[in-house]
Amino acid sequence: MRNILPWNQGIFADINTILNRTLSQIDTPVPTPSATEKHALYSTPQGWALRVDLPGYEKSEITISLEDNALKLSAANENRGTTDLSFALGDEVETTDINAKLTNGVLEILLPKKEEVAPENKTIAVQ
Amino acid sequence: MNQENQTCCGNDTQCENTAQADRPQIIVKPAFSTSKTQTGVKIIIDLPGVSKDKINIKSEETRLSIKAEKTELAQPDWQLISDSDIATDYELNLELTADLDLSTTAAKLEKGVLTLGINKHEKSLPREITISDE
Repeated sequence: MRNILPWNQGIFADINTILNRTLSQIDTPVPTPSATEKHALYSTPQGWALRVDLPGYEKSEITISLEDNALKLSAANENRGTTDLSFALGDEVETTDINAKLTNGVLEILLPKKEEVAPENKTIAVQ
Repeated sequence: MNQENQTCCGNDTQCENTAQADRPQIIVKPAFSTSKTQTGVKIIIDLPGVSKDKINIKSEETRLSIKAEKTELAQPDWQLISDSDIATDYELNLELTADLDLSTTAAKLEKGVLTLGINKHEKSLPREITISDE
């Protein structure tokens, strides 16, 4: 089982949690937000999987982007306000093939590992 | 906050995969809020990762109890690297006021959020009293 982290463990340990949470005008109080969005990081045979709890948001209200080798999540709606999270990615993540799925308020992001390029064997003739 | 740490695979529990077997059960009190409505109260409870069939709602007199089991999304061959004490189960016990009629509780689960609507007893609702002629 692979134990390689996609990013520097120190960077991940200091995850940027909530950058901004604003509550727009609402008719009813929203649940008291937790100090940090609950998340879990797994190592998988294909790479890594990140799971983030985002209850109360539709798929269309969540934006996932890559910026400066960081995965940025932004969720926003009238009832819940805005939640921004950022996760630093390491060089081993294949950023062109990231998949995300939202199920029952949990966002699951699959981060594949870059394929290792096998060294090319060449025979060099001696002149 | 209620929190218990127990091994997942007890005598009466079977774990479907290695990820669940290795993971201790973590029961937490979910984030929730209450607000008044015209006819009673509305309770909003965050239950991310919970499907409808894994929620148990019970009421007894003025007590409301909600228990929910989070669906484990991890595959058997996944290995947990780190988490922020992510819950495996939720439990919330509420003591409500006597003017609420728990038999009128309506529940809806959407986007990982459980919304409960509870009406007041008919006799507790505001009503206008007319003055009769002598």
